Amino acid sequence: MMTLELVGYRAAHAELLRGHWLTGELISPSRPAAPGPAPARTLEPAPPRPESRVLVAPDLGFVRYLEISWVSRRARLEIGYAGDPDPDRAAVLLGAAVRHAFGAFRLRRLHGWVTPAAGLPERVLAEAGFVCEARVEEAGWYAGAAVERQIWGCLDAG
Amino acid sequence: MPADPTAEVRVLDTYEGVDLLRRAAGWGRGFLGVDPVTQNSTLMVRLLTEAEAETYQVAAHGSAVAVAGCVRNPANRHQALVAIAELPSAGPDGAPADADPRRPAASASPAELAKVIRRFLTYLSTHRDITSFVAHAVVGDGALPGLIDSGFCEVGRLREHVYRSGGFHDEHVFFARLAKVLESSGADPSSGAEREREWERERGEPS
Repeated sequence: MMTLELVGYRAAHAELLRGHWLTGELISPSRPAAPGPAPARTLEPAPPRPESRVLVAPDLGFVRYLEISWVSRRARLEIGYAGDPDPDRAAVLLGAAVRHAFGAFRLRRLHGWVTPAAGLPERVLAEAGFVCEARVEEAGWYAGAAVERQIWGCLDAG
Repeated sequence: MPADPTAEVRVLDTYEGVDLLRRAAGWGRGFLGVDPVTQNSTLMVRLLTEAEAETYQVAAHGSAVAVAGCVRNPANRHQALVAIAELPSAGPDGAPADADPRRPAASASPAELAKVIRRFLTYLSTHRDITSFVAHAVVGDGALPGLIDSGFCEVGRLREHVYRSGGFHDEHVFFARLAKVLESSGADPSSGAEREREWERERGEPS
């Protein structure tokens, strides 16, 4: 599997942040063809506050670290890329996001929200070291109904 | 006419909410992600404002007994993350009793706190159209036994999610619907404290 390096966001990367994203999802392909898709929107490129970071993999997708707690050394992760769900692309981007978090930021924990009704990338998450830690009913809205969302977490083994 | 159970819940602005949270001290640790023991008021106001949190005072028989808060789930606006922190009772001279950072000496029983939680959730359901509730708590948080006694069920555990008091601790995730909370008013009032003691034993803490 190729090893990807993330770079800081520049204005030239604006298109990577525009898509039909599922709110707050850990892995979100941009899916205009999903049931009742969210309107296309552009995520904030610049950190709205010190406790978030946005990085990109040029020509692939973005990585956002949100709700960073430097005291608890954790962050909520979101990755996104344009196009249909692609486990290989998701795996490469997710692996880069985890390596950067634990290596460059020296965080020790990442977590994120997953909506099983939108397609559960279980293999991709497990290979990146994530484990399902919580199941919350009615935590999301998808295809016209309140649906379960799960919290998947990953601890730095090093 | 039966008394309106939501009448003793009052909306606060964020500054008032943080002032009450500072009074709650140790009981307020982890309240919607803030910590009145280690964070100053300015920081807590900023964090709660950015999270679009609403804060409330909950009273019983005219006296404020708890500060409560909620943050709507952006993915489902009819669900909210809720938190509640008991206020220490006044000492003999009328001043608030000193609050130990880990666990204040003077506190209501979990059964009383469960009633306060039910009152607050009824208010949110009636006046904010919130139909389901999520709560987070770490073992040692004052509200944890009351959450369980008021009908919240554990739905997960976030491993080593919170750094506090020299170590990383799991954060327990709880879920409830209002109907379940109201049904729980007849349940065993000691079950929450018992569950917390089990988790403390798991963690190797003295129970």
